[in-house]
Amino acid sequence: MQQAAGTAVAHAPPTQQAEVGGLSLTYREAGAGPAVLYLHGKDFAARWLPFHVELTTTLRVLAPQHPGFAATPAPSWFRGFDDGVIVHRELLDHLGLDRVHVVGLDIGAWMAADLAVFHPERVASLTVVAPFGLRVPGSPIADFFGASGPRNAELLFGADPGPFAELLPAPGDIDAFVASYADASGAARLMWNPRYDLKLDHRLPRLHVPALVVAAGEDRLVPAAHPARWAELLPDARLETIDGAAHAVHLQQPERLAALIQTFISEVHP
Amino acid sequence: MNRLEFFMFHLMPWPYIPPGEDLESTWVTLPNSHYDPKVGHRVYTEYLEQLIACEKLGYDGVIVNEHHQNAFGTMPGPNLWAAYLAARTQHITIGVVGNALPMHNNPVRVAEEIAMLDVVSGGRIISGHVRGMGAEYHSSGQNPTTSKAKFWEAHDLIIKAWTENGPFSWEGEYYNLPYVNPWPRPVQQPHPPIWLPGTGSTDTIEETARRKITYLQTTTSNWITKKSFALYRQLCEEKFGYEAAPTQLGRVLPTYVAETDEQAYREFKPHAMWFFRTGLKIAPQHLFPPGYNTAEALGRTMRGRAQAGVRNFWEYSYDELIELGYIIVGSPETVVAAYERQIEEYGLGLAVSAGGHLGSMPNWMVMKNMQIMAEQVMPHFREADGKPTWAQRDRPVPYTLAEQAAVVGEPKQAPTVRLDNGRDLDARFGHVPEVVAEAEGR
Repeated sequence: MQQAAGTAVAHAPPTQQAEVGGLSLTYREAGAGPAVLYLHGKDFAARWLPFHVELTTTLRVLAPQHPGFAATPAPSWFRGFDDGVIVHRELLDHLGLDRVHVVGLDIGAWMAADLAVFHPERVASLTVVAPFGLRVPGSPIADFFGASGPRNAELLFGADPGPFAELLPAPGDIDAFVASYADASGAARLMWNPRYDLKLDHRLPRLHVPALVVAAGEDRLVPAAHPARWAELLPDARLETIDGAAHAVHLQQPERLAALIQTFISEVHP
Repeated sequence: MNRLEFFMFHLMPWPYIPPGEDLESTWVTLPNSHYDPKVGHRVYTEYLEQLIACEKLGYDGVIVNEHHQNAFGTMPGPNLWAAYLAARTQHITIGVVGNALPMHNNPVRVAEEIAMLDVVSGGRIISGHVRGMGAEYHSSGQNPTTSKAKFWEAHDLIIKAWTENGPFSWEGEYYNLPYVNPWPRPVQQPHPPIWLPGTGSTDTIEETARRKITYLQTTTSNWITKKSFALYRQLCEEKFGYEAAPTQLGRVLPTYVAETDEQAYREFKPHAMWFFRTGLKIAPQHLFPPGYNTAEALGRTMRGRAQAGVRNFWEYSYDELIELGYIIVGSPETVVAAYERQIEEYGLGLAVSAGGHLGSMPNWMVMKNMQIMAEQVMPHFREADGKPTWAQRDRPVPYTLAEQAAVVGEPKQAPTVRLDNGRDLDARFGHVPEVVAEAEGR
């Protein structure tokens, strides 16, 4: 059985601040090895998870909190993925990192793709997990913005969220609700409308960096047609599917996901 | 005690749906297969006739409003109904409270339509400006995270479009228009009165007080109304240096009046319960799309509500709704006494939904409610002649053509045709041979 554990980490590295892109970015860093910029998804932005710990066994992991999420405030001018690209590129400058492996989940995958599109020279490889960003006619990404609490749990964790339900605000827990509302507002700022970037359709084919596309086999939020389409559009991509995991694959299958990423990066970066 | 103005406020609900308890929400996701257009024809017609009746009854005004994709209020285009009412009435004030400004990609369209209504109605329009309910951001695709900023920019643009001669250019955060030059301009000067409904949030109250805009407290308890009005008056006095007029404070206060307290209680009950239990059954994820409020403001509101024991609309009993002041129900004496308290204790100047339609009320009951309100409640809050406000003051434009000719006179510029000989012909008389002959120099 999946452990609630999927969520618990004894020691998270401390958060740090970097003045980049015109704002104060909060990030964590841990591990040694090839550098990975991990761009979080729409949920759990503040958390350092067992998935991160897995990655740090062979990689140096940088995990910023996007502006508008968790502890990084968004100035009023921060409205688009392009603003995010500048912030994350300046974080690399700030840390003296010339090239990194970029990994992103859902909204973070969209951000990662934009970073790679505009700064391919800074991106050693691109991994997108259950990615947002494309329009696939007939297969829209589910409307998580309009989802009730139980529906949101289902979109993230499947029909039976089990112990993962604890990660979502309990009824009546105002502080937890407000924190998740704040993160959802960060996502809405970037992708309330439209919920895709049609330009990716002609930009991704021009992106000649090694790419890994990961689909969650039981994803109810991102239809399987999305990762499949990413793998078609990216010229140098391979598609992997993790069965038995819903959208929050990094929580439900942290070892599998981390191992896929580590293997892929070791091939690119022997 | 100040005068009290009475407004019939119609939401135009569609009550023919299952009980709220069986629905996730009456907004956004309730399938529109519940709407039957053939029944709708009767429903709209009855609702409009109820509003039209208000003029003869002696209401100060009637109000329509904008809501989208729900059963609570089936009025997505309030300016259309205001036009209908302007055509079917001659004197009564018509409020559009309001147009949801961020829903319009070009707010000048609102300035234009309100000006059209104001001109054709002879200056009888109130322009309400609203953000739109949270649910409407799900239904419209408009981004809730920028809605407040867009709202105020749109509001400022509309006011400027009405008060400054065009063309001018607008270079804003959200709107960039090289030519703002709306035709027509409104007849009321400097512009139609502005109303702004709010639920009691501090920044809305502050912005309305700053701009001397009428603040309309939406359906809520006495407790929250009292707090909101006190804050508004305090800000006017201490921060903005003026005393708020009674007409700057309005409240949506659904009222039902009947022959006796018992009769009123009995008749209103099922329809009030439909309104609160089903009409207002809005799923929280619909009511609060992310970014519609800042997380801090939402947290403050939620903690405040939890502390004060405020529940969802659909969780109150009928007796609690009466007790807490969400609604007023009773005989004329009871209702008069309740309004006197609203004036004395809270400083109310505008009673909105003061008699009229609510929830699932049948037509006959609405008419009964309104007639008793008009004859046995309203006179108590007026001068001895019982006149509504519109009968007390001169219209911006007189109603009859004879008066218009006497007072307004001719247009400043005659329509003019320049002839080949370089002389000008007044087109209005261009069919009169003598005039043409003179212009042509014959």
